[in-house]
Amino acid sequence: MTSPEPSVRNAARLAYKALHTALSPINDAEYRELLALYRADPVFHRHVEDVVTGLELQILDSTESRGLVVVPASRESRFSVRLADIRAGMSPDQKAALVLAHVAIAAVFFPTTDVLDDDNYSPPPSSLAACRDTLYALARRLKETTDLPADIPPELAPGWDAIAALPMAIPAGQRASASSVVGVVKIALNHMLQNGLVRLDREAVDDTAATYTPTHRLRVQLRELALRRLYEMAQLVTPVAKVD
Amino acid sequence: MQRETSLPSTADVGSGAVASADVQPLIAEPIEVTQLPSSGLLNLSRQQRNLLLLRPVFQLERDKMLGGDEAYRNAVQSIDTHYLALSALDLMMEATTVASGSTSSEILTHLAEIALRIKPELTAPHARRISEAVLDALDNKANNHREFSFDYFDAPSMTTRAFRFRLVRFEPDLDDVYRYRPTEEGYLVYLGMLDLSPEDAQELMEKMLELLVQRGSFKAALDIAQRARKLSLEYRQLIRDRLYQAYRAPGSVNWSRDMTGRLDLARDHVRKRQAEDARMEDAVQGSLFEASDLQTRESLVALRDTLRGAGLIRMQLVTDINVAPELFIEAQRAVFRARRPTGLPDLESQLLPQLLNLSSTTLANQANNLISALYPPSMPRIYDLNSVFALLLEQRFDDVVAEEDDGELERFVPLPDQFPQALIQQANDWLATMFARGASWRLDQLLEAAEDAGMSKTLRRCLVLILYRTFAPSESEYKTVSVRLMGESFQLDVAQGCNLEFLPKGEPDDIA
Repeated sequence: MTSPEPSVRNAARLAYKALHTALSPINDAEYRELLALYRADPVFHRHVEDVVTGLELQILDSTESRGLVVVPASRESRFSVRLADIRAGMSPDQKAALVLAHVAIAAVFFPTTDVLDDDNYSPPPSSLAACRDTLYALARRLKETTDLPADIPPELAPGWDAIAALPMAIPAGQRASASSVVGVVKIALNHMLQNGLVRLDREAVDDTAATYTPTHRLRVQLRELALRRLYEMAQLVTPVAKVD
Repeated sequence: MQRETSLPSTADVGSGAVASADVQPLIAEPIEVTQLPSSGLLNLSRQQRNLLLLRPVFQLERDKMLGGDEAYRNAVQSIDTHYLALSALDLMMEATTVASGSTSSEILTHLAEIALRIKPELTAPHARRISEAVLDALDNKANNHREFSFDYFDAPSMTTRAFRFRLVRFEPDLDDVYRYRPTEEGYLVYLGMLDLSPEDAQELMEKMLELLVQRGSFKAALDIAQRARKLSLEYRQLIRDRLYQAYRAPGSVNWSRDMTGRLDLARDHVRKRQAEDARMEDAVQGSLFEASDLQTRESLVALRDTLRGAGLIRMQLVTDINVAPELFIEAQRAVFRARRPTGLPDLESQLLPQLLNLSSTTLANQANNLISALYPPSMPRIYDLNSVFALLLEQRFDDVVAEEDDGELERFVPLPDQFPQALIQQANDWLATMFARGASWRLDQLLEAAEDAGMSKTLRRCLVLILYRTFAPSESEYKTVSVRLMGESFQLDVAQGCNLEFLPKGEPDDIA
């Protein structure tokens, strides 16, 4: 077996493989060889980086077993997922709830930065119910301990108020709806599942009983990119309420 | 909801000699009607809010005749939905003694049964539909199960404010079975407008009960005892909600800070109530021995049973509290994770609470920053080659929700055709004549011939468009002519571009 050429064509081929998030080098010999070349040959390494950068992408991680983890270089990249791709036409409250649902899911799997850093740590499977409770219980606690001014305009009300104001579930609601806490968590989990950020660990007739585990990609994306963005977002808090 | 109380100590009552004058301020005090010095208006905000609590129930009664066919409207006409709504709340409260509320089907079955008892001639589907309407109204289905929100005039601030509340909650119990239970506001609707916290209200009830027993008004005492029992239910539910919340998300609760003090207070409250109840039960038992009138004895027996029932609920609460620390430790153990100090913020304990404090607008604006960082690259989907250009030229705007005010509607005025129909017909007729000669033509030749024939510039421009359209066989109106690109250009006053050659081909049938 001959090793592939360190050509630009092969560099683009590796970028192409990396864009297929479902592909694993374990099952794909060509991917494995290109990855080995990327790790061994500095010229090829540079070619791959050039191709990826030209595509408005960025390499976050590369391991022999899990492949090349590429992500959109910016939110303007044509490859980046936007909230409207997940669900269009949502109200600001629903958007806020969906963002918070994503963070809550990430927090359930990786509560501390330590476990995020520790590649040997595998988070235990978690259910939709666990994610729902993490988000809702915290929102309710903040509601109980915070003295929110009565005349605060809705657009300035904190996110926990939006979550606490949502019904926990829509009775007899089958479809994941952005109008309930369970609904937004379900939308987020379903989309993360489709995009290879979590995998369905155990299926169940009842949605709330199905369990999920995070993939390597979720860990890497959180650790290398999303956690910093979240930290920057958290700095935008302006005090609107007095916390007891 | 803010609750204010100011009650005399239990010692005042312990003497057993409570005069009616002592009771009066207890009822009057929670309802404050103060005059505001600045505006001279009365501060009635609490009473207004209490009134608003009933609005969903009133709306249900008012709107019950809307929708449905004539048969349904006739069926629902004489059904008192107020009764059904309160009965549903009662069922949910009672269900908290054995579970953490009632399931949706339990409530619907119960309400349908009640509706059938109110009006036996109801059909089963109509009874079911009425019960659904009642439950939907309590849970604000009309507004997608969001909180009720009603405006009221707030005199202290001289502004209109929104009052948001729920009457029931639809939430999972520890086994993840979704159940309905009343909220504080739901209890308030049921128990009347005495806006006290359940523990204070229980003390108040005790005092009234004692007074009524002393006076021998056993029937009224029984009514009060039954209300007191409901308050025991509410108090137990209140404490249990907190406990469940702690079990569910042990990471979000600091037991010693958030729970211990509260549970100690609850334990103390229960101890005092039990002592009072024991005394009251003795007093009732004493009266029972002395009473000879049958009706009085019946009331006294019912009173004693109600008191015992309330005592039982409180015993359940004591059990809940006693096992709570153990269950919490169990819950914590289930999600136990070693935590080491780190310089970076943790997601669960730091970032998530901070992000929950961001305003909805900020979160919505920042959404794409996070989502684009969290998700892997997604391949743009192209279903049709035609959409490639659209995709390449697409500017990615943020998702904008249409404003509710769409502005004014304007009548659509279609753009006038560039060429009048008659002119197009004239051009077509002329071309048909030219092609009918059987000769081959170049596009520039035809245009020149048209100019020679004295055609206007507009007519010749129309000819250009028709001739170029003829190039596509599917668009061509001249089936006897085949068109080919000559590979050279022409330049005239009406047009310039690639020249075309029009050649006659066989009969029209052959072409088809």
